[in-house]
Amino acid sequence: MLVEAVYWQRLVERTLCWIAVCIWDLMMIHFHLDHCGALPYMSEMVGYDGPIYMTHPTKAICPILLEDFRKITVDKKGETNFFTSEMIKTCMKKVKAVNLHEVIQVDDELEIKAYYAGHVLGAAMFHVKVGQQSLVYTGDYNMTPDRHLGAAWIDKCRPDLLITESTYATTIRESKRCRERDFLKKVHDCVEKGGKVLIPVFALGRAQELCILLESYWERMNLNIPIYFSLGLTEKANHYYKLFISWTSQKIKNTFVQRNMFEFTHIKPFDRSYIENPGPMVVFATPGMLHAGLSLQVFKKWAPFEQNMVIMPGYCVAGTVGHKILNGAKRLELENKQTLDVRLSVQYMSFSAHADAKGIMQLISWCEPKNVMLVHGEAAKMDFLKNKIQQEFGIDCYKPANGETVTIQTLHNIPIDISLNLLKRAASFAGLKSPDPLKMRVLQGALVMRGNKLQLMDADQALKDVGLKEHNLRFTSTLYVEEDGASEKLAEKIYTLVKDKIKDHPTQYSTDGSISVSDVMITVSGDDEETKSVLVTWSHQDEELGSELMEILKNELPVTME
Amino acid sequence: MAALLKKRALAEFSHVIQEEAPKPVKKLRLIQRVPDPGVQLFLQGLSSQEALQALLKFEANLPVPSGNLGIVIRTLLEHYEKEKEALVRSKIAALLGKLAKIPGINAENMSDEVINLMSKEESQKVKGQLIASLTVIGQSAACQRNLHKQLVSIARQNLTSDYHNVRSNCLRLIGCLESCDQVKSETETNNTQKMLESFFQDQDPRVRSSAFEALLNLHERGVKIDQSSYTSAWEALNDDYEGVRLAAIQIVWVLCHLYPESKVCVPDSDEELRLVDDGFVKICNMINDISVNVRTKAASLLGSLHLVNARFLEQTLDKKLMSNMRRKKTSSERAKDNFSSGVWSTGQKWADDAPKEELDPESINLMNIGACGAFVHGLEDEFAEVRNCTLDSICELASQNAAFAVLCQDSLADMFNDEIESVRLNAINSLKKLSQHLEIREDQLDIMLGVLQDFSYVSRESLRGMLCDMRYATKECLKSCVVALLDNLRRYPEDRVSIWKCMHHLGKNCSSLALPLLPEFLCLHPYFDTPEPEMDDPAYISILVLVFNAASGNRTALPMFQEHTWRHYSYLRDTIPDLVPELQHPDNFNVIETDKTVKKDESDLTSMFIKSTIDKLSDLNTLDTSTAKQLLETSVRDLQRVTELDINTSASAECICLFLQSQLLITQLITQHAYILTGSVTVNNLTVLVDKVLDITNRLQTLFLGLGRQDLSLIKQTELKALTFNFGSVLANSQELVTQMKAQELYTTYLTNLQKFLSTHDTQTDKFTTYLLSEMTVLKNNNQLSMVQNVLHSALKLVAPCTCPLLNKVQKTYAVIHEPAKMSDNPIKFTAGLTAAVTLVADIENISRVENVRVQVKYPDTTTSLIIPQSCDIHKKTALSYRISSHILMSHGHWSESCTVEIVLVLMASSEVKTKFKSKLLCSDDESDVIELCKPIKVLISPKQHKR
Repeated sequence: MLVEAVYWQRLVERTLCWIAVCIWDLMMIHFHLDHCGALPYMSEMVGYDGPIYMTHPTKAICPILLEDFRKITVDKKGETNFFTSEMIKTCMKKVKAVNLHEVIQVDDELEIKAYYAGHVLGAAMFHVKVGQQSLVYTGDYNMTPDRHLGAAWIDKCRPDLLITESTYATTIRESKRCRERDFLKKVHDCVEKGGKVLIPVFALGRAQELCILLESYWERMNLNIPIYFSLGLTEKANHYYKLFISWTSQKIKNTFVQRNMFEFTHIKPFDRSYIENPGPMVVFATPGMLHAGLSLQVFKKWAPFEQNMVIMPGYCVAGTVGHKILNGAKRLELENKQTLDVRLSVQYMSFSAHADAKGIMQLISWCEPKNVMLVHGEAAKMDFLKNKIQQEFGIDCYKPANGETVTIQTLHNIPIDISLNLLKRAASFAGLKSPDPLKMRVLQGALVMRGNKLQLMDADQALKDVGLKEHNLRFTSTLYVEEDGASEKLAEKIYTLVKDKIKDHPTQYSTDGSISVSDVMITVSGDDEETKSVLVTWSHQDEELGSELMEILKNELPVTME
Repeated sequence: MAALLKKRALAEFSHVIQEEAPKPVKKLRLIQRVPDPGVQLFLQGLSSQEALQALLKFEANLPVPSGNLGIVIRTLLEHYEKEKEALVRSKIAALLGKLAKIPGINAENMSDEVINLMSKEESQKVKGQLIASLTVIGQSAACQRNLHKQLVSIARQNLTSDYHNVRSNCLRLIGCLESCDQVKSETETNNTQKMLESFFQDQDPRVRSSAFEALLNLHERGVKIDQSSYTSAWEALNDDYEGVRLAAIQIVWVLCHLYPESKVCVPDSDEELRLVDDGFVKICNMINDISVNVRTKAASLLGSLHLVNARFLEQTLDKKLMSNMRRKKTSSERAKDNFSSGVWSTGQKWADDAPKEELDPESINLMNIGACGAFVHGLEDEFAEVRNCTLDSICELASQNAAFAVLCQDSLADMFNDEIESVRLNAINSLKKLSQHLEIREDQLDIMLGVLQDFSYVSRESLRGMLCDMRYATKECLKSCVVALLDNLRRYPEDRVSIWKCMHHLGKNCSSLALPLLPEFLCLHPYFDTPEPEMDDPAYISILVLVFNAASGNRTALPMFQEHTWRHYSYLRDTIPDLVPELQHPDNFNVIETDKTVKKDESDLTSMFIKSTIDKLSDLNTLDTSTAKQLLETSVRDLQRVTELDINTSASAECICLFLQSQLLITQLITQHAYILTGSVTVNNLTVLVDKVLDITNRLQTLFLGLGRQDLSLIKQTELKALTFNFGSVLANSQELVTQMKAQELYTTYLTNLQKFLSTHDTQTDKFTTYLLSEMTVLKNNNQLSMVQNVLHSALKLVAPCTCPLLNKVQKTYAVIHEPAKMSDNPIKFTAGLTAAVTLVADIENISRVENVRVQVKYPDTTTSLIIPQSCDIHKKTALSYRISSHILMSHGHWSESCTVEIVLVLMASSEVKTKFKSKLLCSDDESDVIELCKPIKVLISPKQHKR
């Protein structure tokens, strides 16, 4: 049973009661709250007691976010029955950290392996294998690299099932560069004219990307207009970004010896008093949808001036200020019956870190699963992608609704133990001639079932073990050939014929006039000037060779009757 | 650090021979070092473990001279026989292979030994290693056909081994050594290929990849490979193993080149494709591969398939955007539409790019199948290597196909915003190469011009280079170019010259586009007179350069010029003649007409002037000293002016000028020579003069390229004159015999060298030199210094100044430092005692031996350090010009305030005189044997105290 703690607390309360019973293993995909928000609740309050796996960066950043989450819910909203700081701590103690591509044996049968997923720092996809059956759970991932993270990568692990998110099932995006250029140009133009730029962001993830983007642009253009970042959460998180360089993009990895890209030289911490400062500046402020906090405060101050600009780098929920201004509202009503004129320019930029349709398809083509399951996304869009997957790859694709159960049949090879001696003997036979991998080879042995293990062993040995006597089965066939001359002559003829046609078996012509091809014996008898009989005999193990020989003889010799 | 640097510099560049003074005539004794016994290997009586250690140690010392390797090889072979441990045996086998590479080892004998070992060997691991060594042995005996044949047959026998290493090494050997005779029958090569093909599906991936590599190797060695491998090669593109795919993709590529036009069937249909098209599609597909190496290879191979059908080529750039199942236009498509409809997007609406039409689910292609979108995908790859290779391929294909060039324009422009600089630069250069096919639109130009604000000089420079060559669609384009360049000038004033050059090209190439913009550029107003702009303003000069060049192609512009424009024209024509073309003033047509002939031959004029100056001086040696001196002084003054006038001849003028200066100094020495020999001139006074002469001759020999032997011999003789004066004065003044003897020794060595030089180059000598050379035996005589003195007396009387005919056109070596730019106010801060890196970008022109270039850093406390630029930082531009882009490390102790450090490019002197005579000539500092190539650049640094 595999579960991702995707659900928010409320949902979890209802469902977890039974889930907790049957989970024995939990993997955290990444630190976003929609993926790890319910973790302490589950482990501490519901009573989940198995191991929890996380990548190193996730393990580092997760508790900061959980603590923040707890503070807001409990302290600000006054929620009761919530997990405590202590619970977060004990929960994090249960977490085991994993490295990328490290195979972890959870128990005798279950093994997991993490792959890089892009999306946010430390995000991972998990390959889970139980015996012969395996699946890949992607979580959120990103197939296009951005300024601070690389693209998701997986090898050809050929799982039975690939469970992938499909948020952008019907979108193909333009190149990242194009969006970045737009963003930078807008910011640069605005500050050049003396305007102030507000970029509302959430503390982790996109914020770091945009910071790096602006930082390197400032560096490149040698600008000295101040960039500020609101304090708090971000600062702590930035610290971890600095530490986990190996999880970032190619450029950061290559240049961090000279300079760690997360050690910003142009970006300074923000102070509320700076809001009133004259002159151009760029400010990153939380939260991202302008619904509360510092970003809203800054927005109120700057909104009435035309030269200023606000850039919304992501999605805004309906009802927030962000959503309103994106839809072109020119006048906003605030809490205490005040109104606010929005004169500054409002820009929207999508910097989403989810894979688009093309990316999803590429991941599928890389890991070559036998079945695909789509989760997370709108049904209609997923239908499209499902059809496409079935068309392009010819594999089954599922998109179960919530609560729906899907049964997937998988075909598997049955592993059999084989004794080394037997294998070596077969190989040494093959070794005599030049190898031809195209040709199938027959290996003979007895299949023995012991307990629930299958074993292939030498037939003699097997017989001995069971105490049975060996019976031999031989096929005999006689051909009558109309040919003049001595029977030796015919035998000679057959010998050259066989030698010519059958190359990969040793052919011998013995003195008593019989020809042996491996274990097949051919004897020619009969007097001169008469019909001669050709006796062919072979054991049932050589059935293939025997019938082939018969075929040859029948075709090549003037056979009268059998 | 600085001290260390200096120490190192001293150690490397000035071999100062320090000797204790009092000991008489002690010759420098060179100790012949006993040749290194080095190459030794004792394996007698060692255990396997110890032997392995000894072997590893020996291996670490490779390569060694071939001297007594015979013994070593014998030791190895003997030990091999005795060794029980397979691992040690295989190490010995590997070592034998490595030793075979050393020149002087007889590979044939060694191969016999190794083959002998092969036959007895049981262990498969060792066998594999032995075969690998045989490959190396075979390769080092390149022309022994029989040996190769023997080795190949051994390899064939071992192909059936069940150990993968043996099989794959055998295949490798066959690939490397299978004979590639043209005379050999077709069937035989076919057989080899058939045999290799049978390994294409071996169970071990390493064997599979070796088989492909062997085939590739055969191809590279000139064996024509058959088309039959194509199917198995492209099937191997789906192999699970990277190495196999990497080799197979190259086989596909090779076959595409060999049999471009032959047809192949498309699976599951009756269609037939040309092999080159099919191969192209197959390689395109590999741009989606999992492995970076394969993607890089695929991207770089695509570029050379020029014969591919345009239909497939165009598909490579295909990418349809969609959002929620609706078609969305890419920003470049939007821009193109706007351009063709003439309506410009305001860029203010957030739903500007809102998706419009519904898409039919059937028509969407999500997978990059075949060529579809291959290049787009490559350009969006995670790794810069792949992106760079894709750019290269696109550029190469586009330069063959104009239609494709137009298509890829947007993709290339998009790359201007890549995060990695080398990719951005590559995009700029690619676009420049395609300039003849392209016409730049305004929206694209917007993206490109952003680079002009870039902090990196190299980016800006290459973008300006690109702008020079481009064609523009509208006058608006030209206008935004000019505006951006002026903005560039404002931000980075040090780019001035390069910007003017760019304006020069823009004006010349787009004169018709520039015409309607002229009034705006020149601030003309229909009714009012506008104020006369400041002439010294670099921005105004830039505009004028553009305007004048545009006007030279389009005479209708001329009447628009105002009176002051013409004045400025004549000023600029004088100051920067190579950037301003000649124009005819419409009013005084005739005046200019007569002027024209003169102007046209400006270069000729100066060269004629130089020639006449030299002619005037031809009888210099016959004149008496004071007249000669006067004449020389005026000539030097004239030539100095000429140097500034004309670029073409300035190097020649400077060269002659320097030479004449040296002659002037010689005349000064002549006037003093009477006193010199009596010893009444103070030594210091004399050495200053001699030093100056040597300095000039040194510069002449080092800085100028293209001096004839006559010129060189004259310079050397001048050197000799100065040295003779010096020697004479030493003999006259010094009381110590040691000093005298030493001076004599140095002098005679110089003389011998000169004699050698003169005889090999077969040049004429003047009376003075002839006399000295004839008296060589006397001069070399150690015992009688008075005799020597007599010879010198009579020789010095013959000294006369001479002139240099300078027949060839010479070039002067010089450097231009682009970065660090001139003095910025912000000091570079670093912790005292540690180092700080300063980026240096510089161009060096007309240099033959670039390895002699050094970077000199002078600290305010007069310490200097010489830094050798790494060879990987030096990029060749043309035959004689290079670009250095590297980091200079500087370091110093703690300073209380920031101070300037001078950075300059210098050239190590090629003349040996200076260093040799230095100890004698009281030159104490090591700067004297380097010659500055440009003016020093000052950089403000401030080493801060270490914070605790």
